[in-house]
Amino acid sequence: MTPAISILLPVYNGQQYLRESLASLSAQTLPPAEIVVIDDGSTDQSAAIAADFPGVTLIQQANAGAAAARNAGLTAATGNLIACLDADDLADPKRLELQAAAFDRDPDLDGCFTHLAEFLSPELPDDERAQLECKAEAAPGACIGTLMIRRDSFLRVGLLDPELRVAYFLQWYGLAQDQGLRFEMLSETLVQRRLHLDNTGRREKGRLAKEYAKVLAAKIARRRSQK
Amino acid sequence: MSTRYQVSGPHIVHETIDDEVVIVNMETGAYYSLQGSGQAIWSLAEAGKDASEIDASFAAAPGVEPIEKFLQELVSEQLITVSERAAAAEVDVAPGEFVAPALEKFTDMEDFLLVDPIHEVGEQGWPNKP
Repeated sequence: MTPAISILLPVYNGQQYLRESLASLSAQTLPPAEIVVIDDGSTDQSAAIAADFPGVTLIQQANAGAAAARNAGLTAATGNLIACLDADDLADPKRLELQAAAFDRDPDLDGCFTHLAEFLSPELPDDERAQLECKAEAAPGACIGTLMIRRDSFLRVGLLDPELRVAYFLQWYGLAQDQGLRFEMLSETLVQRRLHLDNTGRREKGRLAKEYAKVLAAKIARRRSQK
Repeated sequence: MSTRYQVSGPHIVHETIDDEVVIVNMETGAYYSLQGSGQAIWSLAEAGKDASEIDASFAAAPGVEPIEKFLQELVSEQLITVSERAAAAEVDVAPGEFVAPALEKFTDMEDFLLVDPIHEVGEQGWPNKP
């Protein structure tokens, strides 16, 4: 059966890099059935850029966060396979082909990640480049930005918790693990993560600790109750 | 000379949830749960108390030996390190009765914790990178 792949690409004020990310999806050796861009209430040109891009289905919502945006996309997607990409990252031309092949090889596979490489966004001035640490080697990209997953498998675990701003995928994956979903990590590097400066990211550190601890404490409690 | 400690660095994130401390080492991807009096010992050590001061803060002092042993466990997991810091000011931690402290380590989410998640957040828009 030919897989129908729905791309989910959430964006919030991401006009600067959105076109490049979309272009990396247009260049796939195995084209997606649809590209669903979820605009999370951007105040810049993100929605207009997405609407102009050939083959894009645009969903717009009032700003509700990344998890809520992904949920909206997931609900609207029609493909039997879902692939996620962040609005500033780049997919290798063979990303969809190689990930879809993993599902062909293994009919019981639920989800598939790829390795991830980092790059410094080329327009950055030297002083900003100096503040960013770019990993020299690709590493396993165990994050939602490299994930391809059967739509049914995703929904069997449930939608993402929109209350979590940073730990929603960690939480979801913990639940998926508990339910015995099967994931594969491809050895190929199929997503390029763009590094650029974001000081607000650093300011979120307090929230990160709280969310991670809360999600992991719940996972520990589930494990104890199963014993 | 008393030995005092500090949390090893900003890569160690920790939160107290109900009666449990959850600690995540963002550099190794391991996470930990502290139970029993582990929570109180962690909080007091983090505030700069040494083993004998921690011992004395319990309702019935258990002796420094189990406390030092637990602190050593935290050191060997690289969650805290020996520090030259001065004696701590009074801290608002009332440990109550001593209950054998327990450190539990989990490594089942390593890959996920090692992928930096901060890039997905930011008031300027997301995804954004640290």
